[in-house]
Amino acid sequence: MLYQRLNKPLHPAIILIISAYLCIGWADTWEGIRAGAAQIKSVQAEFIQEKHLKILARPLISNGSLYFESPGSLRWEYITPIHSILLIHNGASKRYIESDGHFKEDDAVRLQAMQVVMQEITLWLNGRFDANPDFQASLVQNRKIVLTPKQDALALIIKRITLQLSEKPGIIDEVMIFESEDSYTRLVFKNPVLNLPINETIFTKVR
Amino acid sequence: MKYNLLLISVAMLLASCSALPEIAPVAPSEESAIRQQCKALFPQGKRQFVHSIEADMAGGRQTTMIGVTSISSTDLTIHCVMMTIEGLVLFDGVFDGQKIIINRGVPPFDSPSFAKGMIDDIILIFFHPQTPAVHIGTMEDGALICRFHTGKETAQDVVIHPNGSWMIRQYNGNQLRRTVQADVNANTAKRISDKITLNTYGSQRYSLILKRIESHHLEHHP
Repeated sequence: MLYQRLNKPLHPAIILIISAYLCIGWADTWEGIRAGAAQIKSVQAEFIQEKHLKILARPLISNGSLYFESPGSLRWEYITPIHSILLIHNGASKRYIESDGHFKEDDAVRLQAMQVVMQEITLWLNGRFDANPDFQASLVQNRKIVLTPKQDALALIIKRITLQLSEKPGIIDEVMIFESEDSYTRLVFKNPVLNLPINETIFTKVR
Repeated sequence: MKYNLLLISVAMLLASCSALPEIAPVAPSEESAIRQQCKALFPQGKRQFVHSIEADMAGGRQTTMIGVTSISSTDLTIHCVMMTIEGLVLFDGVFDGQKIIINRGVPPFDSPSFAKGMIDDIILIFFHPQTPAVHIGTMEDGALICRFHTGKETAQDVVIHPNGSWMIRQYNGNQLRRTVQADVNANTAKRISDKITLNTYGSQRYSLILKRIESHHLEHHP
């Protein structure tokens, strides 16, 4: 009888429960998160960025894609409304903007405020949410991480960052960057593809 | 290469020192129509614009940002925000018609002089001069022109070219200080240009290319 039951294909609901059980806890501790992220060698995903500001009649929506390869190669590309590409590879970062069909190198990447954002993105994708000494990282319930600046100078730029981790280990579903209560950026990631080899030129060339 | 740069520099210097262009007078009956055409170039009421701003600054630095500008032509107020493409707000300031209030400024966008320059640019681009036109007529190439004396030594020309593109030229004395060039839209029914280029002359030279992303009427927005 038992043999017969074991030989039957597992009911989809049972598979779901088992899968959920296996995933429970990956984001309960920093060790679990680091272990989950350690399995990730590369990530490809699309994202939607919503900029919310009190002044805006409606949120400003941007669309783009990201490629990440551990430990620190990143291509962060906006398709709309402005086609721009941020490339980080071998410790060097460059940003290019398309204007009238041509890509031009952009100097905003040198802004100190931008350096903070770029450093954070690569740390998150490595699962090192608590690695930046400038932020106090707290792990709250339901796989949510809250990063709060430790210094007043940084708090003037960013009030806090919240990251919603996916049920699937190593994946971020959503990031909220609060500059104030009525000025924030929401990034929603979709269609993640993990551990697929990425050609190095993705991180070094705009096309 | 150096020779070309020298030629460009001399040409720009000559342009900045050029005298105000001659205006051929028109019949009084035509003046009113030209005056209306000059006025119609500027947005009326409460409007909001979202632009990509390509800035070309002294020293060859180039950057692109997103600018949000809310204006009211009735009470001459401005609220503007500049942010990176990633959404990081670098500057948030308000001009209440008298003074500028900086709500947020991330270095190097936190200085009062930066805020003043930015508000001056917005006023030049989006607001019809507050003084009446003192000369209305045509230019040698057939363009329509309205000239305003905006201060004791400052003047402003609004020029409408025969192809529909238009330009603002701002002078201090006889010296050209800033120009605004608005391209003709592919959709000519839209009055506000989709692409506006601002150039400044003098010691603090820079240029800004504004490309429209969105625009909204704000009559029902707080």
